Amino acid sequence: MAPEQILSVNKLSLSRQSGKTDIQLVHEVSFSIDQQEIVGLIGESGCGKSLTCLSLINLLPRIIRADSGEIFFQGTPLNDIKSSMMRSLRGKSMAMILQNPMSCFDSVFSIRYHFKETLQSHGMGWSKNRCRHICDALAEVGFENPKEIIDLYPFQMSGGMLQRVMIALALIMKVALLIADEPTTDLDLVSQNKILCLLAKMREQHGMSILLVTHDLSVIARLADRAIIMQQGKIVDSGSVKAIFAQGQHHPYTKALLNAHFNLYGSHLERSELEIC
Amino acid sequence: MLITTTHNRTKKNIMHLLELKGVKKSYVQGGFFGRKRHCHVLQDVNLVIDSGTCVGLLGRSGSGKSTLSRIALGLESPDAGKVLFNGKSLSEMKKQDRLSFRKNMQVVFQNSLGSVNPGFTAGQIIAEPLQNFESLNSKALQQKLENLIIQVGLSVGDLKKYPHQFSGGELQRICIARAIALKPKLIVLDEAVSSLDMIIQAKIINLLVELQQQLHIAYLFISHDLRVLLKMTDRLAVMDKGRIVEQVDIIEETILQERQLHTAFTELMEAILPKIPKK
Repeated sequence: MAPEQILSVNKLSLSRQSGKTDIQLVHEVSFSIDQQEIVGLIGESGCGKSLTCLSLINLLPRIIRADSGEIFFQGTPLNDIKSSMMRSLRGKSMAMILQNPMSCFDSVFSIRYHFKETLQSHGMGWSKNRCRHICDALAEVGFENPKEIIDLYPFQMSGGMLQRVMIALALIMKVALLIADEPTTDLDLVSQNKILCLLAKMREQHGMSILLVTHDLSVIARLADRAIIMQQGKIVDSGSVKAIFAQGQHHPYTKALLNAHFNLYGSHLERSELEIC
Repeated sequence: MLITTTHNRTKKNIMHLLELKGVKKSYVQGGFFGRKRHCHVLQDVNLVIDSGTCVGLLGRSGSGKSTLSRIALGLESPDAGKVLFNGKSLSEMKKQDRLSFRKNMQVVFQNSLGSVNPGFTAGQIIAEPLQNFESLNSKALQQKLENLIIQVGLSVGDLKKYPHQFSGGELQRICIARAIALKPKLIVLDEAVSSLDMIIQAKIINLLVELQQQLHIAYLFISHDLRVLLKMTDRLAVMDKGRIVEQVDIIEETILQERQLHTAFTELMEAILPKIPKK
């Protein structure tokens, strides 16, 4: 069976008005994501990675204007979709996890309430059965005692734990596309590895497609099938991960990125081909 | 398991630049509504930093790295144990010694935007420690500022800019310029390169290595990324749950897997992501 395209972006341009001049922030970006595929989007800070992500779920800040471009999600064009329709897509079919999980939860509500709110806003009721589903989802993202976790408040949990709760929220909605915007940048290496393993598992077992935004090439090397490299609002290079990491004709920026990446692995780490889960 | 280095054993009579001896620290948690609880952040920590060396401090988040750095900087006092600077205990220092301690210890934090005054220009930011410790006339000060900003790889024109006009990497360079302004003996780098993107991170690491060779500064380099630490440090201390569980000398071509290492260390080592994709 040919892989089905879950998302395709065609010549997306974003700009911001500053005084009388327009500042072009994202320039004719086109890419697509197949079903069960993990696509890595990498670039320096301020190159428009996050804006591209936000435009996919139609949550751009007001001052940013989409000049042109089309976005298709599972074959449906998202450009002139009704906002109520968009609301039901967002969270139900595609979800986003962010860099700073602390700011994504409301400190005065427990984890149980966050699940309840998400489920109810998508028209799913609350019952005993649901509670079991939530516990299952929490267990699947690696919590050993989901019954205890469910009554905790966000400030009682660490960054890595909250990131896993975010993934559990996406899991319970059975989203088709997960947009992960720097999901592990704030975490230490051990938690980072856990989250990346978890994302790989989501893809294997639930057929999620993932758009993985990062500034760290090793995250791409660990997880992605294809990589897109952005610089100053433009895609400068893209291809399979194998091709990107191989020696060959690359854009100068890609080369600089690879150089910095390979330099980080000194002679001490030659055995870096570690077995990972 | 604490392995003191042979280097320290043979030169025992030599005074260390900074020495932490049996340092303990605990914070009180809760208490407003709930039950008070003591949270032991540091337990019996011993660490030695010699002048001109770079000591790496590795650990997961919450292992007590930052508390240790705050105690080493004298920003907090330990509950038990001693901090010795050039052989003198921090708690018993006279005013003059304390001033010289302050002058010789500098710090660079992870969040560069949060560690500068947004209303100051880069020039004012770098000038602040100089004005506090050295009485320079305005011409000499300007000359010194220009030298410093060039030393960290920015241009003289940047002295007039405000923090929001810089990128994260550039602002981190200004924080480094401020830290080296007084020619300190030791700089604490608390995750100083962790939030920068890869190319800029590599540039800042190169800058730090260069400055160390030029100015003979010692670094206490705190990070959770073993890759970065292995590039820079002479000795690596690994923290876990408030204790230093492992100290290893990093000599070129050291094969780290030769010895039985503490699980906290191996865990962090195994979490290093692959260099190239497996597929």
